[in-house]
Order: sequence, then C-alpha cells, then structure tokens
Amino acid sequence: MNEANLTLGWIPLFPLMGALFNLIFGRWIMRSLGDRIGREVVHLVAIGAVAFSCFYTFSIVFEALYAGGYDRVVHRVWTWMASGETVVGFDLMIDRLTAVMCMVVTGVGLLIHIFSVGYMAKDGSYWRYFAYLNLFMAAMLILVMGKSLVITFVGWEGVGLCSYLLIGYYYADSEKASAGRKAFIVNRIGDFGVILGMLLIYAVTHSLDYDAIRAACASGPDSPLVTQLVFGVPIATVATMLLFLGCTGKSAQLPLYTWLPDAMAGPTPVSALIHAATMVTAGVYLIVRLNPLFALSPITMSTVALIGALTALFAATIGITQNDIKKVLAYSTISQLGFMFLAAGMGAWVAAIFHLVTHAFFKACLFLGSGAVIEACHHNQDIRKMGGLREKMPWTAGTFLISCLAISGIPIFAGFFSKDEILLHAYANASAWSPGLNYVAYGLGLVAALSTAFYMFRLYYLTFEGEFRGDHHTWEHHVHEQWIMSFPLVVLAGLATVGGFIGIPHVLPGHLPHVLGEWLAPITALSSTFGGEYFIGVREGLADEHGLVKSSIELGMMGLSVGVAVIGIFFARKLYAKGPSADAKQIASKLGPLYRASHDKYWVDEIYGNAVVRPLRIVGGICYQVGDQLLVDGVGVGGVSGTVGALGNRIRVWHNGNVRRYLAVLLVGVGIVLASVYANPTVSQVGSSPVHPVDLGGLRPTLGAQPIRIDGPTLFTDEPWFSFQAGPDRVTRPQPAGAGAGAAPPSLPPREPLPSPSGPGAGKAPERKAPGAP
Amino acid sequence: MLPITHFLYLAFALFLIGAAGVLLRRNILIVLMSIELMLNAANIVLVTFSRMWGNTDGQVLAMITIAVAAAEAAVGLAIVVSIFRARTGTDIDDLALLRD
Repeated sequence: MNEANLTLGWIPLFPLMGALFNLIFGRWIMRSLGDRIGREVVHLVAIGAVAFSCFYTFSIVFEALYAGGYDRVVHRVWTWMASGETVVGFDLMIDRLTAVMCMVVTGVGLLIHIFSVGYMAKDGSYWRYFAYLNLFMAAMLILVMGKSLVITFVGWEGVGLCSYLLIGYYYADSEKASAGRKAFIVNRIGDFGVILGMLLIYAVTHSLDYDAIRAACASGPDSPLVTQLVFGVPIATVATMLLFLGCTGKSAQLPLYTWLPDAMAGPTPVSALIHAATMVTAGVYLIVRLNPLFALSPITMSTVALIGALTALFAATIGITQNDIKKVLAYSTISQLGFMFLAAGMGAWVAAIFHLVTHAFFKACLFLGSGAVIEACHHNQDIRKMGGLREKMPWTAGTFLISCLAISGIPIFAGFFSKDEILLHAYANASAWSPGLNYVAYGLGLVAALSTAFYMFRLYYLTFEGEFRGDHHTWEHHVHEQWIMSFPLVVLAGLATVGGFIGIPHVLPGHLPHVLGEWLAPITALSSTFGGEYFIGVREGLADEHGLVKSSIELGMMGLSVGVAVIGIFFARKLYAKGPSADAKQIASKLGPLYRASHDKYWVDEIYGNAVVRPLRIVGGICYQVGDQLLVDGVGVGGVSGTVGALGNRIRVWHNGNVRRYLAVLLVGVGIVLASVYANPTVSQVGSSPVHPVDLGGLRPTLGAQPIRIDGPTLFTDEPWFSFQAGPDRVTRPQPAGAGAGAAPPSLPPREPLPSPSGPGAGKAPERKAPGAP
Repeated sequence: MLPITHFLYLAFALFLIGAAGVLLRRNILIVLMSIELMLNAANIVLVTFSRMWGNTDGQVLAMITIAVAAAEAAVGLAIVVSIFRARTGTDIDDLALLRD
C-alpha cells in the first residue's frame, strides 16, 4: 500500500475555525462594522474557509493520488484514546473513494456558500447561518475522511447536529423548530443501529479501523465475521443490518425518511447542501466504504436493494401530487437516494457513487433554483401561485430545465448515465433473492423513473411556463434574478451536463473508458473476489465472456429507460404545459382515493405519531410526574431537606441562649470523651496486672494502638510512690527492629556534692566531677 | 503513705462541686467562684502527679494555671461589671442573647 503522509487535518479544520470565528465574533462584527461591511466580513471568512478546503482537497487528489500514484494519503491528527493496547487515533485518510466524496462535498459546498450570500442577504442572523454552514462542512469532511468507523461516526453525529441547527434556523417559529427536533430524533434512532453495528464489528475485529475490517473480511466466507454467530446469525449479517438501520435514518429511506420533507423548513441553501448533495449521501458512502463487509451478508444486501427500490417508488408517487416546490424536491431526493441504495444493494458500488455524484450536481442545482424562485416570489413556495417565470428569470429557468432533463435520465445529461447503470445492475446482478428480486427491483425502479420524469417536468412547467398565477405586485416588483445566485446555478447545470461522461458504459461505441469505475477499482476489488453465495456480479445467463452484461441486453435496457423518461415528460407536458389544467384535475378526481393517499403522504406521519410518538409521550409524562416530580423532587430532595429541617427545628430548641444549659451540655460531652478514652487506653499492660481495655469493634490494632508497659508506681498499684529521686523515664516502649536499639533513655547527670559549709576561700575546693557522657 | 487515689478523688469531688455550682447557681459572681474552684481542683491533680513522679513538672504547670486563673477572673469580673452597668440584675438567665 503506497501511502503518503500529508497534513489532512487542515481540510476540516479551516471550516471549523471559520465556524468558531463567526460564532464568537459574528454578532459583534455585524453590529459594530455596520450591516454591509459586517456581512462582507462574515461571508468572506466562511467562503474563504471552504474555498481553502476545496483547493487543498483538489490539489491533494490531483497531485498525490492522480499524478503521484499514491494509493492514499493518511494523517493522524492526534492520538485520541490510548488504553493499553487499544489505540484510537483521530486518523484522516483520502483514498480514491474519499477523494470523490471530498471533491463533491467541498465543490458543491463552495457553490452553495456563494449562493447563500445572495439568498440570506436580508437575514438578521447572517453570522449564525454561515457559522453553522461551516460547522456542517467540517463535520461532513470528518465523516468522509475518517480512517476508522469511530472518526466517521464523529462526523456522522456532527452532521446530524448541524442538520438540527440549520433546519431549526428560524427557531422563533415553533413549527420549524420542531422540524429540526424531528430530524435529529429520527436520525438518533438510526444512530442507535450504527452504534450497535460498530460494537458488534469491534467484538470480532478488535479495531474499527477500515483496514482492520477489510483484513477481517479478506478471507471471504471463512472470515471470523461470517463464522462467528450471534443469535444463530453471522455477525456480518447482524452488524450490516444495524448499520443499514443507521443509513435509513441518515439517508431518509423507509422507514426513517419522515424527517426529510419536514426539513424543508430550513433555508433553501441548507436543503440544497445537506439534504441533497451531502449529508443524506452519508448512508450510501458508509455502505460503499464497508463494501467487503456488506458483500459477506447477501441477505442484508438484498434487503438494502429492496428497500431502496421500494423507497424510490414510494417517494416518487408522493412527489407527483405535492404543491410545495421544496416538498416535491424533497421527495425527489428520497426517491433518488432509493436508487443509490438499490445500486449498493445489488453490489453495483460504482453505480451508487456515480449516481451520488451526478445527483449532487443536478439536485443542488434544482434546490438552488427553487431558492431563487422562492426569493423572487416573495417567499411563496406554492407552485399553484407561480408560472411563467421563465420570462423574467431566464437563467434560473434554463438551469432548472437542464437539471430536470438530467434527473429524468435524458441522454448526454449526467443522470442518464448513472440512472441507467443502476437500473441495468438492478436487473442483471446476482443477489440472494435472484431472480425474483431482480424483476421486482427493476420494475419498481422503472416505474419510479417514469414518475420522476413526470413530476419533475410537472414542477418545471407549473413554475416556469404558462401564465403567472400570483399577485400582480409580486410580479412587478419582486421577480428578478441576482447574478450571485445565478452563477452557482450555471456551474452546477454545466456539471450536470458533462458530469455523466466520467462513467460512459462500455457498450457505447468508441471504447471510451468508464473513468469512475477504473478510479474506484481498488475499492471494489475485494468484494468481487468472494464466490459462491457471496458472488457479486452479473448473474448467470446475462453475462458475456468478460463477465459484463451482454451488450444486446444493455442497449435494450438503455432504450427502455430513455423511452420511459420520454413518456413521463410527454404526459407532464400534455397535462401541465400551460399551467394546471382541467385534465389534470379530472384524472385526480377519477383516481380519488389514490390521489388523496398520495397527497397526504400515505398518512405515514400520522401513523408514526399515533403508534410511536404518543405512547412515548405518555411514558415520558409518567416519568415526569411520578418519577421526577413525585419521587425525586418530593421524596428525594424534599425528603432530605424536610428531614434536615425537622431535625434542625428540634435541635434549635437547645440554642436558647441559656448559658447554663450550654455549660451543662459541654460537661456532658467532656464526660463522654473521657469515658471513651478510659475505655480505650493505649495501655495494654500496666505494671504486673494486665488491663484489658474495651475493644469496641476490633479497631484498636487498626487505629494504631501499641502495647505499652509502664513500670513503677502508677495509679493502680499500692507501692510507695513518694520519692524525690529523679529517675530515668519509666516508660518503655517496644523498640522498632533494627533501629538504634539499646539507646538507654537519657539520664540526668549525677548530682554535684553540695558546697562545704566552710567560709569562702577556705578549705580545699570541692571535687567536681565533670558530667560524663551517658 | 496515702495512696494517690485519695488526692485524686478529692480533686474530682472539688471539680464536681465547682461544676455543679456553675450549672446550678444563678448569681454570676457565684458562678465565677465555682469556676475558680474547678481550676483549683485541676491544680490539686497536677501537684499530686508531681509528687508521684518526684519531679516538679506538675508544680510548675500549677503555677501557670494559677496565673491564668487570676487573669481570667479579672477579665470575667470586668465583664460582670459592664453587664451590671447595662442592666440591674445578676441573674444569669437574663443573659440569653445568644439565642437564634
């Protein structure tokens, strides 16, 4: 493995620093530098940070990975946890898959930051918006650049947080704020799956680094992840199912998609960035990143594919009847993500990433276009009140049209190549439930593609063609284009046009390379080597000698999907070319119950609300009223304080200022202390009679009591004790071993003889003995 | 010779009498006298042990405590005088200003 070591830490760090700068100084800057200059500073810091990340990413990819020929670039930012042998570092990595994701994230992110300058120009909390947007970029980059599941999960949670912050950006509106909460909580349910999956994988591999997981999967069906069972099922299957639960939450698939339509409450560039191009693709990225692991559990793969296909059709049918421009795009996002999961579930990893990239281009373009439209129509989002905007917003209309063509799968635009590849592999790849799953998935996908073309062009026609159906004042004064908003639209539309050419299928004449497929080959190589029931690739009967789909089948399917798209566009044009027509209303009333079900989103929110949210609220209420208020506050806190208060009241009777009472209590206390000292003296043997002290609780040796002998006359003997002789110290203590034993207690010097009573100066001098050394 | 315990029981009895006087009498001056009585009981104990060990350590300490007792009596009487100047009675129960 050819690795380079460059400082990747800068890539997420710059947006993070930008976010901190705007959070800390933003309000002060806007207040003190005035509105215009303050806004310039704020958005220059934000855009500068993302631009830096973008250029650094591109330069690393092109110089290290492309030109330099390295397999990947790694960087350990710091050692996060080190406990014994387990070392978890904050490892960032850019390999080929991450390179693609990073370029998309930073590129599209930069364009959306630029667009936001125009869109949020009149918002008061400008600094807060850009701070959160930068924070999101940092978290998303950490997610895709993580070298282990731990780091990816850090980013995963970070983007969830930023999603909450940005959806609930207009927090004063309680509906919008609760949309933010809904997003976060539904995501959390998915995160529970991710954590459990991570723990299961760790139990087998003892490391969550992608290299370790890959190594554990390398032995294919013999790997410990397959042979070790939990509840009788291979760990690989259970772990991937749990991880997929997380992916359904993050990437808005059935059953955890309900947050995404409500997330349209946030500002439109947020919807473009988070809920179209980047955050919702994290689930797809996770599956492709862990593709060896997923390949080892065919059941999970087939489940992923089935849910992807079902979601694609489900969301598309809801999108047909919605009247809010952003909701249509939201359901479109869910549907396209379903396509990506369909591809991933069938083992077509490259197709999934390909569609991720192209979808980022055209969906971001669509969302930003809708943002321009909403801004122009004075914050009206209802397409029934729009129409004919092409006249006054030509650039917006043109880019929107290009993106609609791309998403519908019309050739040469990007969506055609990616969507066609997905449908091809849905039909042709082997899976655990082939061939039934192939037919079902392909059928669902085809109908979803038809619906996609239909509702996207319905949206286009109702918004941009026909007559303007809003009020005159808006038409005259508000509908206009701003260059700062049109510039990103043009760039994205351009990418949506040419972006498809990185994945040209082999069947087309000219032997043009499938650039993306070859680029990602090292990532997908391992999972293609498993055999038997874990086989990933074209199924029997459909493969030619190279293992690819027979060109006749592929060309036929290509024609079929283009035909389907054209049919969808044709119907949309017939019904909506001049605005909402009577024909459309007739069809709607003929399909009455179906129409109502679609319009009301199949009542999924209501079902969840009654089946899940209400019982949880009741449980929460019980916990609050009984557990918290009654038990903790009442019995716990109230009980403790009440007890203390009651005791205090009893005792304060004693403090009546009566000195005599105080003295009495004092004396009683002294008596108790003395009694206990008497009961536990440190004397164990006094004189010849041992005194057995009262040993309360066996603590005397622990408390350090030492046996002491007292020789000589003491309190308890009747020996004559009157003596004026100074003598040596009569207390002997046990000598510590090895210490200076034998040091006799110091004695007083011998007494001097008294001076003789002879007169001064007479007689011999008395003999004085000098004090000898003891 | 007298066993040492006799002296100690004497001192203990004096101490108890002094303590009883402190607790049971209401006149401040009697209370002060009882305190002096307790101090003297302690002095007796000190001298007793000095006699037991045969050195003068206890007697020295007794001299110190006599000096302390004298000082404390002086201060106590000064306080009593100032109380008298503020009030008219000597009843110790009236001096219950330390209540909460």
